[in-house]
Amino acid sequence: MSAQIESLQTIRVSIRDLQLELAKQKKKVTKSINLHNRLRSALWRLPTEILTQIFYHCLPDFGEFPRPSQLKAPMLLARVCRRWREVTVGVPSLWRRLGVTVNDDHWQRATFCYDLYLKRSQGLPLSLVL
Amino acid sequence: MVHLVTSDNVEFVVEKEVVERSVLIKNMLEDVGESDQSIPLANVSSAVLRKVIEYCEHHRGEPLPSGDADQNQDETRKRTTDISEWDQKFITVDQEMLFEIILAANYLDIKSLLDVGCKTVANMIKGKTPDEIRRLFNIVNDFTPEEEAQIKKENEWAEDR
Repeated sequence: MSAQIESLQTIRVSIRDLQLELAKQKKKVTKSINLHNRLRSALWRLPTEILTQIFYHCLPDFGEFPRPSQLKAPMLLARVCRRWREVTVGVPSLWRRLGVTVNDDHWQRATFCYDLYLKRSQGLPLSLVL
Repeated sequence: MVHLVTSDNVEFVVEKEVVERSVLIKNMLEDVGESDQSIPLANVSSAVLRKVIEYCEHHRGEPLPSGDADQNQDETRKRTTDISEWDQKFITVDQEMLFEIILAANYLDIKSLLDVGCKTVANMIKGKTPDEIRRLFNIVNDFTPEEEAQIKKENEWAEDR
């Protein structure tokens, strides 16, 4: 009886190993599919400096200081895909202009958002409207 | 006249004044002087060069943008996405051609054309949700669940604003 249990235990371990291996393979295949899908996008071929220029043009017009919005650049751009996020977060001058609301009801969340701008502008002079 | 040969081996004969909108070609001509030899453009196909020449012909004689413009990019921008009527009509092409024109303008160093291309793409992005942008440009959402969580956190306060 104990030999039978031992045998079942061994089978269970094997199944678990196979499951792990399958999960690993699935991750690899998904990664490969994503990579190939990316290549289908013509936009993917643009070098980072051109993508950066496009992102500059997505910013609100010069002289406008809108509050951070997930529907507007630069926040919007960092939500599209990894590459756009890397480019957006890596260009400090995209984060140097913002409108700040004082006495916001959700001041903790607001502070977190302003802190993002401060970190991402990496010490560049900021233009603010209070 | 200047002879240009594209990546698909098509020769174009273009007036010097027109082709000199390209800083790359202008510098080449200055370096080598007058010559009947063709200039090979390995990164530009004939279909794209035809469009680029159309743009350069329309804008011939206009002053070239100065190099300083780059340095004060943010300060010098007014309504950045404004594009003239002719340029808008010119750049109304399919996405593949639009990106090819942008790449060619970058390679040939034609700043005003590069600007028109970049502004056009920016106008396509503005006002859309991330999902709409992905669909428009065939971009895959490749964020991991952890990254998605971080993005959600970043945008909690900025939601619907």
